[in-house]
Amino acid sequence: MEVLVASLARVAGSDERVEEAVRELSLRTRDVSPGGEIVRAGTQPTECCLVVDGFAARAQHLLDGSRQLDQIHIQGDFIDLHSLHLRLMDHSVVALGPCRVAYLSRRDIVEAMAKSARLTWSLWQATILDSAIARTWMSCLGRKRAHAALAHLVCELYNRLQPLGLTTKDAFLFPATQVDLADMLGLTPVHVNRTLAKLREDHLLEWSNREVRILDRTKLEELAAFDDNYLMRGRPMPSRFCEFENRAVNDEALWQSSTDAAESRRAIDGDSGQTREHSSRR
Amino acid sequence: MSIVMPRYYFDVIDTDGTQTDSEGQQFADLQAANVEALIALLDIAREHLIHHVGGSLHIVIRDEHDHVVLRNSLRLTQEVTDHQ
Repeated sequence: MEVLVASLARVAGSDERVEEAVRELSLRTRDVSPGGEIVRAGTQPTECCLVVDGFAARAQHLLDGSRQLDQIHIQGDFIDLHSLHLRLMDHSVVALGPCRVAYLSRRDIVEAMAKSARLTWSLWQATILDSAIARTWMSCLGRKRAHAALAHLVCELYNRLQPLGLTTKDAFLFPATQVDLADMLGLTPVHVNRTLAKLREDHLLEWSNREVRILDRTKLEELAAFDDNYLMRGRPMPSRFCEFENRAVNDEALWQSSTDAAESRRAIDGDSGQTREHSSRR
Repeated sequence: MSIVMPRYYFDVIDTDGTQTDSEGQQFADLQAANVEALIALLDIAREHLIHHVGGSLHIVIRDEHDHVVLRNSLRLTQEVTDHQ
């Protein structure tokens, strides 16, 4: 559960009320083996699922037998929060390498959301980040060529994993196979192989034994045309909600202080206070 | 009941040299492997030949016995006319 608390704090800023609401949820964990299905397309989920450890990928299976992976979920990510609004899952989620997930009942989540507007706000922000990442993947898939698209994927993963302490200075573990990579980038494994070889040759990155090592971050980000803006790193945006909350609190305080003042005036003025009170009511 | 599918290896040859495939991939048959090779060839061509007009690109398929079983080649030619 701490994984979720930390993840929401990163997206929406830390908040005691949210933490409290999250800690009250109950969950069960499951270890999924590499390539295993965590969520199946066409099913009616009764639970929402969270990555506790490892990596998962959202998968769409096409009629010709091919597959597109359209997003990677890392530690602390809700895999299918949007399923709260779906009758049937329109995609699957698979484990990339060994993955530990936690299931939370939809009922519990909705109940907690009904109690805490703050929690609802945080979860909403988590889905906003989710869709920002999806938008970026879409433009990478549509417009970037293999080298830039692969470089972008690596830059994104590094930047998402770093705040979780899951990177070293220039490397991270990523247990995807070459077929997985190909399905993320819309390429053939042959092409991915060639692209990796080229990036290694150009001293940009090395990918071996499930470890990705960035050799030249500046050049890699340049090739990828990577701009981390969309990841909203370190810039949670609770402002609008805070303003509203503070205004509500301030209004209450103002009200309180004006009644206090009226009472103290009454105490000082003694009997004559009654007329004053009368006039203020008008 | 499980049938082990044959493994094929795809080497890519361009103007800079040969990239040898040491992992390979499993396919039902050579025809299926060749579809993969053709898609890869055309995809790679889009990136490589755009910078190497007049150059060529080949994908060679080897079987498990290291025999070359199929070779696909692509050459891009360009003619500049007098009316440019």
